Amino acid sequence: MANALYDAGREGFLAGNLDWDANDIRLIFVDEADDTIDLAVDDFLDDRAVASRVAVSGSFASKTTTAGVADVADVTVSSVSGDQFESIDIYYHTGVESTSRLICNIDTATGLPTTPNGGNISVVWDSGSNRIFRL
Amino acid sequence: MSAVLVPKHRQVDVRREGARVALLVDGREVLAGDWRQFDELIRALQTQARLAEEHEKRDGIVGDQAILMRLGVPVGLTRNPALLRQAANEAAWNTRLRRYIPLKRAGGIKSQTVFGTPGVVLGPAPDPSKE
Repeated sequence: MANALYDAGREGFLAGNLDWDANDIRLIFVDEADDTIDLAVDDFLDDRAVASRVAVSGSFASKTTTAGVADVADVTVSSVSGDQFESIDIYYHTGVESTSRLICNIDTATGLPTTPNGGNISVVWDSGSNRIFRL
Repeated sequence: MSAVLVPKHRQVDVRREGARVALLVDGREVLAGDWRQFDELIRALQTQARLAEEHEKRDGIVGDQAILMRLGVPVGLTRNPALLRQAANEAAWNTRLRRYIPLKRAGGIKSQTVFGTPGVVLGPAPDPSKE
């Protein structure tokens, strides 16, 4: 596939349910072998199988939205172990899975798929004009 | 002769005598006539049964018909004008309908979202000798 927004993510931005720089945005490493992604139907975190979630980051820092470009500071997830993951979901963390809106899925990145070795894993965002994504 | 058991323990039998067909309930003849009359009766029963089925499954029919209408597929799942009107209304206004339509056929304006290409960097594994 390709990196893409979830339909729920688009809806969230349009309907004002997502505020990129004010909300608690996080990422999850996803083992796609344990869950089949559906960008149109999966809308909240509870639509992604628990078994497919390899690791979750903390809250994104230094979020910016200038010119519709979503950007944050690079993210490091500490001491990751578990299954190989093939993609990364970015979502709005509310603390409740059924209201944590899925924003986008990234399956095209250098270094993917990745097999955790117990060490830290960093996600370094594109330094070009599109950063994470540009609406 | 064939026999069908129906609720309330009533036994329904169908019997043929030459060109004459008879319907018996609990051994009593309740309907009898020429085989042509029974052919017409069966067709009428089938028609009513299909209409009754349509009534029971009307929500599903409306939903499926609405998806077909949204996709522009010229296939009708019913001839019931009320259900067709309801389906047309759903096709026009149900914003969640596109969830059931494959992305390539959902139409609309193609997303202009552009993604960067991040990098995933795997750090060194913990050194067991230092733990």
